[in-house]
Amino acid sequence: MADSRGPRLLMDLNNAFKRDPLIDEYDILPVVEPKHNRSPFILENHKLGVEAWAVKVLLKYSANRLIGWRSRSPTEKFIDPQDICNLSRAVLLFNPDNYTAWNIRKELIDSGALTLSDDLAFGALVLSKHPKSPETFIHRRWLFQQLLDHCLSSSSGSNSSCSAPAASNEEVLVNMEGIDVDVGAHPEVGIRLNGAFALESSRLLKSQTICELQVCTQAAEKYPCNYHAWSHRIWIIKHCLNCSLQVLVSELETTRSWTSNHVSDHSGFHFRQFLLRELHNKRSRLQSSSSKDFTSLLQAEMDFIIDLIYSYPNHEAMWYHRRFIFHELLKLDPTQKRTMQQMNTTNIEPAFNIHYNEPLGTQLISQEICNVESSKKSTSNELDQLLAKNYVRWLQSL
Amino acid sequence: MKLYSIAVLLKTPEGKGKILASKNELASFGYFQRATVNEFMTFTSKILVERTATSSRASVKEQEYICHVFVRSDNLSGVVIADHEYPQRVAHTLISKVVEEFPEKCPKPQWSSVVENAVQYPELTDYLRKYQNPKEADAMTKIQSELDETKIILHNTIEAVLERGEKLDDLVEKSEGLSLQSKTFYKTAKKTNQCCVIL
Repeated sequence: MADSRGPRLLMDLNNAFKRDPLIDEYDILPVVEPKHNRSPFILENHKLGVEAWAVKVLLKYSANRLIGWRSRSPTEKFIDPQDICNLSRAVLLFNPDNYTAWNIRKELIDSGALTLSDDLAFGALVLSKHPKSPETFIHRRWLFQQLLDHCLSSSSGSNSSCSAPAASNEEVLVNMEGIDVDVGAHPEVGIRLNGAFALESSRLLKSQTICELQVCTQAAEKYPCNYHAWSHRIWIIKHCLNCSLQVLVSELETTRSWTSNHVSDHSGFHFRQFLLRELHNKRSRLQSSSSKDFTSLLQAEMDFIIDLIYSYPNHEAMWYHRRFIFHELLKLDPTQKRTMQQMNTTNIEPAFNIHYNEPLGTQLISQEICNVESSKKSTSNELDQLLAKNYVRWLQSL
Repeated sequence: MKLYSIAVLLKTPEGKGKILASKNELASFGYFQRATVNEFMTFTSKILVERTATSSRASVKEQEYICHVFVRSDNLSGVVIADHEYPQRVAHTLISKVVEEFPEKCPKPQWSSVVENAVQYPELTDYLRKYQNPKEADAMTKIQSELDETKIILHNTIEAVLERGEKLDDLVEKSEGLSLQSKTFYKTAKKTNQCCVIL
């Protein structure tokens, strides 16, 4: 049955976005049957509500037309690019798994019918309703790749020192950091050929990257253990922020309060594990540039997780994070291990014998076992006892 | 971890739950769901107080939410709705504190006559804000040691709290506190197995 309401609904939706381009949230309202002769779209306070029956009709109509156009069906041969854009929006709002529709948007960007920033804003809107849609995140990565390419190609044209083709990935990254600094300090760069464009696109990249971290936080907040949001954040840090030390340290700082408020969210802890691993790789640069030393960062993380474990019992995710930290500790150099051990001995009960003639690693393990055993006594909770027991068993197997 | 709602109720001699004062924090819910969530929080608070014996505590799990309830010996009751990460002990400490303090706001003889949800208790807003961070809030409360956690009865669903022959669907259907929109919300959410709204 061809539904004549489809075109009308699509028009209503487009008008809603025209009336308020700042829509930042949308939802499906539980109205199963059309009850009154009014538009099923409700626009309030930048939030769009769509009645459930209308979603069904609209989605069917838009998807059919879009896919018809894609497969070159004779009835849908000529559609204006702006209409394609609107059709794909109608489809993706309610079915963000439709990767074909996202690909159509990629083509629209290539042809210039859609801007990168508009599509990023649209994706953020989709994520407000579907916070763990993998296709949406994948599409965003493509968009950021485009932004990065713009920046790199235009900057190599403008800046003679960068014009040599980047041999390694590392060189590209250094190049990017250079752009970052240039934005504020040397406005004369803009006078050079292509410079203005480079400046503009690097500025856009910078502001969009900051927004993107915000988008990731919101998605992680909306859906617990949101693997897609956190791995997208990792991607952004790696590719748009070059894993720079400054970023890694500030991310470690900012996600600290987030994880202590989401103690069962393994994905959040995994993100911190990524940060710590990266910092471990850059530990010598960390030491020289910010006088922060990796061992004390790791020790601080250990203290942090131990405090969380005892404040909020019964959550397994924190114990796995503790395993990770301890495993990282064991990988440290002997001298660093020694400082670790000295930091720890103060709170060890004298009743536990540490054999100082054993290898350092073994000593650290027995020390950690002592720590767990002594604090295990204070909890009567069954599940927590079990989690502690499993952790000790893991330590013993090392 | 999040704290969604604090309510002080009276379990009337007929065994009905009557809200005396309440405050909800709904910012984390979708804009269009807030009214419904609000109604369901009131509805849930009431049915839990109605089905909890006098002078007992219970914590009832429902999807990712946990409702903590305490009915004191004089039938003044408190309900706190939080998520599953929120420490049970802190939630019950908060209830004790609120129930303890409430008679200062509204003396006992007025409990049965006062209009539903009309008692002025502005501190609830502060508590709801401060207790979002249980660690900070916990340091302020001194009664924590008096709370015996082993005496809290645990239930895995709201259905488990209901009396024999009672069904949640029927209670929702019959409820006067829920609007038609909320009832449809409940039905569609149930049909599609969504967990978008409490219950």
